[in-house]
Amino acid sequence: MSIYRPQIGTPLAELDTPCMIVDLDALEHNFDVIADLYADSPTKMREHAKNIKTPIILHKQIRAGGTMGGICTAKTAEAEVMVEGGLTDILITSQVVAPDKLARVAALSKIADIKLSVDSDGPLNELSRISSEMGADVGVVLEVDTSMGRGGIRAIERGVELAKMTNDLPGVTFRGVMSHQSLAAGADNDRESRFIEGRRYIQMCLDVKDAIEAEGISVDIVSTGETWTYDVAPEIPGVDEVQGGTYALMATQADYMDAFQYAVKVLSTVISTPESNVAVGDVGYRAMTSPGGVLPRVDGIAGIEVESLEADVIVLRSDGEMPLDVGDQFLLLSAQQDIMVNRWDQFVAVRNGKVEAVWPILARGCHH
Amino acid sequence: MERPVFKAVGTPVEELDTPALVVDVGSVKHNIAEAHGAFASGPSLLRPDVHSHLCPAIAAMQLDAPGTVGGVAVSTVGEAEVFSENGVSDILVRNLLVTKSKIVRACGVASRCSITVVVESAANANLLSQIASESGVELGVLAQVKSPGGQIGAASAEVALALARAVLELDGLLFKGLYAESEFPSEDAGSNTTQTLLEARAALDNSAIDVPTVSVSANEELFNSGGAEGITEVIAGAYALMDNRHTAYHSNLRHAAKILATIITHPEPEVAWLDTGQKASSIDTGLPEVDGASGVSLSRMSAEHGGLVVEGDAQNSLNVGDKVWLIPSDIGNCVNVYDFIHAAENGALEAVWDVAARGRYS
Repeated sequence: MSIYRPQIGTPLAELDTPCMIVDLDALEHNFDVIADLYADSPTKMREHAKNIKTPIILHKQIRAGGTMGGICTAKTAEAEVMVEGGLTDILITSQVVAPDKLARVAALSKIADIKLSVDSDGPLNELSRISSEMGADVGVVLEVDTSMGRGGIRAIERGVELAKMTNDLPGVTFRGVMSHQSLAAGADNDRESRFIEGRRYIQMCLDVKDAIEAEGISVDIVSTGETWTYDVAPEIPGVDEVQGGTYALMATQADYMDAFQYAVKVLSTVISTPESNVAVGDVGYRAMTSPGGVLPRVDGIAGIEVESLEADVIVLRSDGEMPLDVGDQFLLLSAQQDIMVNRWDQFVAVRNGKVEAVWPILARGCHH
Repeated sequence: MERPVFKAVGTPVEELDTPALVVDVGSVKHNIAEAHGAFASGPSLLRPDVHSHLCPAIAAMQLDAPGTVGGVAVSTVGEAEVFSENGVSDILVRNLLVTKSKIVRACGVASRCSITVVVESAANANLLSQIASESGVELGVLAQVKSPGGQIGAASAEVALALARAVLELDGLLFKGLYAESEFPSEDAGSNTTQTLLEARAALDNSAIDVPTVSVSANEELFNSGGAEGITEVIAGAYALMDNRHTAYHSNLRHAAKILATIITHPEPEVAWLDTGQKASSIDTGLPEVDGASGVSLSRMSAEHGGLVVEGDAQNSLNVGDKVWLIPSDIGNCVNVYDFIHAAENGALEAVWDVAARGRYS
């Protein structure tokens, strides 16, 4: 590993580019929003590690407050990295079905409080068999499909069946229910619309909890909500935790969530100015991604549009004369940050225009 | 860093931890033999573009094959650092280097390896010359000619000639010739790019400037014909592993790289989801395609998951835990999210290769 790692104190202007930076003031602002909102609420944040993939940043939110003390991960390998990084309470939000991976989950449960998202009986039986053979105990959280059409049970009765089944199996303990919601593409995202849609989806998850409790099975955890429902969830009695991820670093696709500031940016340098109103920068979609063709946005300079994003370069066009010359730097905001973060090996953390820390993204590439 | 459950050599590839990037070595050898064979007997030589796989083990296979210039192309100085550390002795860096720190790093590589950089302006050539001279190294230089539809490069043969003259005057720089980039796909634009380059070459020839190298990148038409008269080298990379977006241009090549994915939920007869999403495949140029499973197609991907549409008999036969193969859209963009390539021979794991240059954007 000979990756370029800037010295603490290096001014932004001296960073080699492209460089993914995290603005510490903005990050801490976002963590404080959560700490303030959830301070006196029974609902707490369980931050999603899939976005940040870096234990030290997750610890920052836990120290800032407003959390239940734990995190989510999307994948088993991410959970391993987080446990090694000192996190002790982890909910794995994707289903795990392969026996060798279930063994890794069970092994982790011997050193941390591990809960796994489950939505079908085959993998649940396999988890029980493997976990009990290892003398382990894995928490089971049932995923409820509310709006994604992805993983998760489709019917309340199915949730009751799986909860009962879990209660009868060794090596597993039924802990609760979870769901993840998305606003339909093109749906209104003003506060009132968010609250209407958010309440409707989250209630679907709570309905499963109520049905399971009616069978005399206790439901410790209702884990739901995300960045766009971070302020909806605490107003609904019964929601214990919110699985927020995007809010920490932010992305332009979530720009309607205006309580949060853009904390992750990519620093790029102009390498060519082929026309008086065109500049070409040294970063492309390989480093930045453009999910669904949504382009990054230039930060802090009015009148410059991103015209195209190619594999290794970005083309900017200005209304009038291009204010950027060859060698000048500019900052870009990503449309969707967690796919971008996964393509980088480190965050260069910046405050007042200087490097304050360099954090390896320890769970980068942990897709499995 | 990626951290799969590593499996023993000899393990059937379907048993690998998923998502896994699996490369069939026999198909890589086939692709290299096909492509390099055309250049061994063609008018131009091949300069493998290792930006398409970022993997020194594959670069070594390419440089061992006939028909090459004996060196590789990369996009960034960071990639040049990695490949020079892995024994490659001749590297062309395709991205313009305009900042002092990048040029200093390029000069560092030049102290142990032949480095060629690309310029489009005399001002940039001056900066390169100053730093190379201070570093006591020599940088090879190609003058970039703007291709039709492109953004970067000298806008005309006259401008290219002036740029060549400027470079020839400067210490620490060795003028090597001309370079142009084609746009992908390049079946139509390709011949225009070749024509533009040949016009610039003629201008230099007429001024008695020696042009040992005329290099063109990402040009499917030139690639398939083994180059063209007057073009000394063709830069290409996707041919070794192949991907979906190149399928239409290279029917003789095989899809050597595929992602192995697992079905983790099958909640409705027509719906199943894979453990492989955008993060593990890179969909900037399009979704991957399901390979070899009838009645199953990929309809969308979220960050962590791939959504399958299941039709016909597959609705009954498909189970949670089943494996599905995906062919990526853009191989370089896909390899870049993995730290390891699982190299397989006849369906069994043969080696695990480091994707040593992944993430070297600067």
